[in-house]
Amino acid sequence: MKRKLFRDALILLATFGLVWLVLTLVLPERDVEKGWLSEDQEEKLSEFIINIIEQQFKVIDSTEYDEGLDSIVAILHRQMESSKQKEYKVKVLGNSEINAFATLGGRIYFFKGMLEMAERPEEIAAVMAHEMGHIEHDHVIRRLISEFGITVLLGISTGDTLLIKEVIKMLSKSAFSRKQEREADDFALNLLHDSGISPRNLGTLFRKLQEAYDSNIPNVTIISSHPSVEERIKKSFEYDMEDFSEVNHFIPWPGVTYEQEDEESIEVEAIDSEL
Amino acid sequence: MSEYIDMPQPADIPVKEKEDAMGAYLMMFAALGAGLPLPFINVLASIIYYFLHRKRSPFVRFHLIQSLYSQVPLSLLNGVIVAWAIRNFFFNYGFSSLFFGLAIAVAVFNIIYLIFSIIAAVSARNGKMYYFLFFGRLAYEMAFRVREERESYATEEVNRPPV
Repeated sequence: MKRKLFRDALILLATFGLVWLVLTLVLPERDVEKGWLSEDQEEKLSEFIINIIEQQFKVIDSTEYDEGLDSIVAILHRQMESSKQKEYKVKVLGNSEINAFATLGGRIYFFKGMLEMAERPEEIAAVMAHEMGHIEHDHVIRRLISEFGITVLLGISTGDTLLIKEVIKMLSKSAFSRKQEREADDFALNLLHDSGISPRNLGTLFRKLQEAYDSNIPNVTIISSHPSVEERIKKSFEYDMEDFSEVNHFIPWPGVTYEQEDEESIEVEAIDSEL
Repeated sequence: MSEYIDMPQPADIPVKEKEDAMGAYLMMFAALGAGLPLPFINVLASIIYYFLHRKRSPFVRFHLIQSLYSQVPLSLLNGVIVAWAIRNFFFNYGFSSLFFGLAIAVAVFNIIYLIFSIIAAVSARNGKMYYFLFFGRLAYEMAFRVREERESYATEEVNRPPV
């Protein structure tokens, strides 16, 4: 009797284990981080959100910055070996606010106010590297999911204006979590270092932001009250520069002129960024 | 003398006992509806039902034990799924294939279990035995094996005709 009981128990356990195993193997592998959202759904969602953003804010045709921004993207993207994003697209929004934010689908938006404040293209590269960090770490999609839930997000295309407003507000205004900001900063510092742009630029930019907002820092995505700006500036200035060699990228930027004697390398750089 | 109490045949079992035996399975259905998000409510209901009826005949006891014991592992699994889902949802862990595999496997086993419970409930109402895999054998062992105290209870003559 006991032996038969034991046999029955084994049959039950084995059947259950087998069903679990087969189902686990048969089901398509999901991105554990992103949960239920399939690639296709994410693509549709990002298209929709991009449309809304570009309707809401005025995308301006800023020929003076376009070339510079494109070459910054090319310089940084070249150093990202295992980039999740096939391409990054940067657009300028005609708003005087000093802000920049990333959204789905590798889109990064700069407010005109930020570009005018930065003065040097290297500082814009630092902001861009930071925003790329958010995108590479899936911060944007994860925050959208945790804030709104997947069902709500997928229903966004029904045109619920209140929801759309909230999504846009969250993307452009509210800060990421402390951990996520730190991750994006670390990513940016390393990427700048690898690209031959001094990681100190992130610190100097933060310093400028701090001055621009007169230490009364609002919640804009690039800079927020937590983690403390001082801490982030300090990290940028303490970044290990031992094996760093600065590369002069000659990024075309309004108000910035490069000495003419190095014409040859300018040409090389231009060809490089075209490639 | 046999190790086990003689099997009662449908004709020997009073209707009340048949209904009590059927109740052991139906209890779960009632509690399942009430306690769906909390998988242990049906077990709680079955435990209460068990203690109310366990002094009955071996036939009733068999069905009580079979129903109660078979619910325990399934409810534990349901509990695991609920806990895992809560953890994933509130702490941003995401849902892996391993989770979905288990969730579907548990769902399938729940459905199979419900079907077998209905069959067992109908059998019990008709005064028949119905054995689940493993739990049927276990319940038979527990309800029908002759034990010392039960033996004395069975042989002791309490009721006698009028003198």
